[in-house]
Amino acid sequence: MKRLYKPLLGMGLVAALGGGGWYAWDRAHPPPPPKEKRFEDIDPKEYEKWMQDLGYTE
Amino acid sequence: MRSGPFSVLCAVCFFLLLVLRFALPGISREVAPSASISPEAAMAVPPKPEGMQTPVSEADGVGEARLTAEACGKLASDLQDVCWQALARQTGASDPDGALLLCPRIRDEELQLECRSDVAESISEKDRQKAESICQRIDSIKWRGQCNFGIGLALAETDPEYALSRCDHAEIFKLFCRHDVNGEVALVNTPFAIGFCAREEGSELQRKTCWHGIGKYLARRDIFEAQRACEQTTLIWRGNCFHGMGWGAAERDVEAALKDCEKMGEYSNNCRQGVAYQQKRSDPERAIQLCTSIPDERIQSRCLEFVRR
Repeated sequence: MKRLYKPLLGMGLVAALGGGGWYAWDRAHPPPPPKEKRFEDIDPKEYEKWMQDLGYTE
Repeated sequence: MRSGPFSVLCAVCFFLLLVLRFALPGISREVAPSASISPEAAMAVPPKPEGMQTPVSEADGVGEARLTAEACGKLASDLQDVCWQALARQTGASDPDGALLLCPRIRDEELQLECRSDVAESISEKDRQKAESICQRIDSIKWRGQCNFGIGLALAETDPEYALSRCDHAEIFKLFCRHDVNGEVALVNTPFAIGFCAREEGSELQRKTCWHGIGKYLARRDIFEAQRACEQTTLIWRGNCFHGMGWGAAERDVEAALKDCEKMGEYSNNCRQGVAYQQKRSDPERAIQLCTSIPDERIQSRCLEFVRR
């Protein structure tokens, strides 16, 4: 156990640094928000269904 | 053999690092709040067909209580957003710049965008260029569309041509905007509204919904006024106008609507179909029953398909 002390400490440090580094990087690079749909991007069939549901067309 | 435990330890540490890198992101990362809008979500934020409430004028001391920044600041934190939004709406017409400064106090991003849209709407009668520029500076497609829709509704009575032109900027709400703004126009200037739809612009859906709006808005006031307008529609879309009529009349009184639909001659089935579609929202069983009672097989089948989906 005594012999393992140093490697264990080393590995712990590496793990802590790696984890911390990853965390910092991840916070600095949040995933981009999904793209908002424009009118032209909407499937006309789906659009017609929403309009029917809300009372905007037959 | 001595290196055995050390190798195991290395493997465990390496595994932990892998877990940190690949497993945790799925749990901990948050999507940026200004996220996307699915069309369903957009529709869940209903357009404002009745237009925004008229802001309380300085002279009008009754009706709606006047808010102050001090009162909003004293409210519990979960109520403050709504209060700031209402205050911005209230002051928008008289002090748009001051109202816009209130919007950033709202913590909920969606409400904050709605706040700016409301301010634009409230000043549009006095200063349409400023209203347009407020909308233009909103960086959400959805709320920029809603903002222009709001301006269209606010100016439908006073400048229909301009009001309807805002719908071209209403993005996801474009056809909803044309339906509602032209419907509002029909209430004050029916010939203009009919003339607008008679231009027959855009897709089939755009043309259909235009006529539908006239029938619906007028029937909310008077079903026979709607009938007179619907009789002037382009023949192929006439059923849509009567459908809108049925929907609009059913909003007031379902039984009276059904009775009046019987007086609509060859379009009585379309009118009844409109009543059934409207009833689907509150009483789906009744909607199915109404569809079943439509004698025209084609309309009945379409009606049942809609109310059962």
